Amino acid sequence: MKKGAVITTSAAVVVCALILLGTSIAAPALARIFADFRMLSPRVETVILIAYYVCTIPAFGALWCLWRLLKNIRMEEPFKRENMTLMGIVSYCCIMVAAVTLWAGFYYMPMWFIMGVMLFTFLIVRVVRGCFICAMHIKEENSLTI
Amino acid sequence: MAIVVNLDVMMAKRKTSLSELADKVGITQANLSILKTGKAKAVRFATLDSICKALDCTPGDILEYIEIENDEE
Repeated sequence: MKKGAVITTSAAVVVCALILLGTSIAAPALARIFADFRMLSPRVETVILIAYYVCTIPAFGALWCLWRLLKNIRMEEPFKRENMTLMGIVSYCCIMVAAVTLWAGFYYMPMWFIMGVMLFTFLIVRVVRGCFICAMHIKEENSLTI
Repeated sequence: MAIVVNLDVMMAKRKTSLSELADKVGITQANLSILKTGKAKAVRFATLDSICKALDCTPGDILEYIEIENDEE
């Protein structure tokens, strides 16, 4: 990954974290506006709010892992064991969000769309992690080729 | 692995130290140590060629195949 791309991606992670923080603070107001706009019941509004707040935990966790991952890439250590663990955590964060949105979908069906996206993201991250694990093994073997 | 590296035996026969051999072969002492202790996963022909020249021996003097008994057999 080129240095410029790494820096840009790192900046994007920071921006996402700031947006997440901002929406976490403004979530009750945003939920109220959304519920009024879509004419949703207070119960659905509460479910959306709960689902959002529960999802922020794995979201921040995933952003932290991505930050650490990019830091290792900036240090030119992409095939570190730590990176495999971090990618694993990101995938589990996706599954956690999928689980929460599965529950929320029973109250507000469009949440299942988010669940689908999260499941797909989980799969992509796991496959990429598998590729990195293979690459790490090849690199370790090359390091032990005299 | 069934391939055993007898580099230390040859080094003792030729009375060559690790640092001397590393200088002659052109690889680091660390890498040579990895080879000597059997932790290496692979050896390049070029490296094997250099080691054989430095120790005046054949690859068979350095590498030995020992059949590992399989419990299933």
